[in-house]
Amino acid sequence: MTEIIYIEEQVIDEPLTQKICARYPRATRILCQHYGEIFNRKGQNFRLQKKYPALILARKQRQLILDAPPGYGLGGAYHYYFSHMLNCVYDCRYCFLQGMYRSAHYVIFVNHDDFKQAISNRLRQTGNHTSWFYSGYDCDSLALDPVTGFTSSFIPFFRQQPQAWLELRTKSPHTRALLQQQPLPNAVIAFSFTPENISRALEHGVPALEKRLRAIHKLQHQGWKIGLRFDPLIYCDDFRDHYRALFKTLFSSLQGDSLHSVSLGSFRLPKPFFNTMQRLYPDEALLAGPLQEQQNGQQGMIGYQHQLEADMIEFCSEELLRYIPESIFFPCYDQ
Amino acid sequence: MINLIVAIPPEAKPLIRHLRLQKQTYRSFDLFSGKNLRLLVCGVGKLAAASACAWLQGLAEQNEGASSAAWLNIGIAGHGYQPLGTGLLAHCVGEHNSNQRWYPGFTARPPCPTSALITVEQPETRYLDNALYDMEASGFYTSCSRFSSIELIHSFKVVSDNHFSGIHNINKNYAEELISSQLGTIDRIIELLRHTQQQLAQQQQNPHYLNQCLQHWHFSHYQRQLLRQLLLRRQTLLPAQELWHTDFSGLKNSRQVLEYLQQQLDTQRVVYEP
Repeated sequence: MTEIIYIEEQVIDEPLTQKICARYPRATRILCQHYGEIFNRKGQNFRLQKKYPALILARKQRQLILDAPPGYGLGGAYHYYFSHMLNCVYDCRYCFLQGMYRSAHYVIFVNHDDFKQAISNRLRQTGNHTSWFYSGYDCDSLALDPVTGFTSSFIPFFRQQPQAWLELRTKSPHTRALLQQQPLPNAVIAFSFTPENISRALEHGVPALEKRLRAIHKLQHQGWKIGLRFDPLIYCDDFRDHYRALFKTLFSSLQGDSLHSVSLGSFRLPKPFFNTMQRLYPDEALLAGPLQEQQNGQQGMIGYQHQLEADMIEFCSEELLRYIPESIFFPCYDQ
Repeated sequence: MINLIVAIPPEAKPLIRHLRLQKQTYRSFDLFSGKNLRLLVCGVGKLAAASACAWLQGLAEQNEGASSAAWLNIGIAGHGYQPLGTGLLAHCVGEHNSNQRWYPGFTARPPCPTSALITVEQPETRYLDNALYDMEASGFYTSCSRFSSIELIHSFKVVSDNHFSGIHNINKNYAEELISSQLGTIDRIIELLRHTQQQLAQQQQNPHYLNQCLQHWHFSHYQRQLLRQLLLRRQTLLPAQELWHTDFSGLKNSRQVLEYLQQQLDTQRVVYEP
């Protein structure tokens, strides 16, 4: 899969760099001084690159831990996110990363210890309050886990930090590394879903629902806490039927007692990201649909027309609450 | 359109023959053209390369509008240990005494091995780095990266000198022979560029009815952008539905046109097939 690996000169001797390079012995290795030379450069085309993405191995130097966006939370006092990787191996047409990044290459930060240090520092500041650390904001937490070794590295670390919760957000069935470890009581493996017709049309490369369900079963069986994420909610004709069917499939198949949380969120994008995505995918029905610039303090954000969004949230919330108690339901939208 | 940039006539000759290009008459540069292909002999050095590319872009914009051309720099170059005659695509282009670097974007597996490429002011004879050495590529990239996406700009070099055979062995015939030996690879690179260019052109294509609307009504700059966006959305959601009927063509002005399209799209269903 990976035929080109860009490597920052400063990380060439890092153990994870060596490990990843050994995994792709035939890949062309290209040295660079800073990943931004490739990743942030103007005048490149995300859609073209997505056909032949390269790996970029780099050191994350600043802002290793960031405050989670408002409304992005599952209870607890503090919410942060961190990204051991930029970009996702899947190609979901609603994903903001396409509008945010100029490049579709996968940046893997190999300095895991610096992230751990930054998390420890943050925890010292927050004392005994519960803090959440979300890892699947700029990437899928598990999709490239066999390459990045992310969970093997961070699960043992979080085991030593009981006041910190880790959320791994994913659409991937790559759970082998998790299954090789004891379940972590302060971690949630959160799987994102959309109805099957939407997934097939918009989530390119995402494994089939059955495959992901099998992965969840294994995790549940071993005692891992599971989260379900319906974020973003995607509109289509007869969305009620499609979401109702999805919820029915999921909740009839999963064990309710190990469900940690269920959340949903509306489809929102900063306007510049939306414009970029529209330029990249002018023939995409999702982006041609009933979207508009948000009002009420959300200027500069593109989302579904207000009434439509409200209908979707109301319907999906009601449907979800038929299956789960309100105590584990965390809607993420503007009230 | 694919623009081939070479430094000297011996690098150009085999390409002109192989690609059946015809000489065009210009005072500034020697330009040859064929079907969707142009070849320009820029002269030696990065400044010559940069100014030639800028000149060619200006010419193209004047004649053909501002569509994204693909650019391929072809030439001979030194390399410390690669065998003479080896063809290599550049995966990183830099200058000897500067931090400026370019990383050409690949959209598929390259049709030949790749290498770093360093542009120098004077012919390099020490070959200190594991890289190709040429005298044009950085100028070529400085210029072309202003006009085209990085996936459409590549530099292909054939090794003409190394530790074992220095630059004193290079003559016109030898340079011609080296380029001739790589014509098959050059064809494959051109094919790849053509394919990438087509994919990009699809992204940038104007929607149906845009020109018709612009000819029929007057739109301000802002309205024109909005019109393009609405027509693109319409084309996606209503691909088979005719727009140019009397209801539409009878609209009085641009504002009514935009309102009509917006209204039509607001009530449009979005269906993802199961």
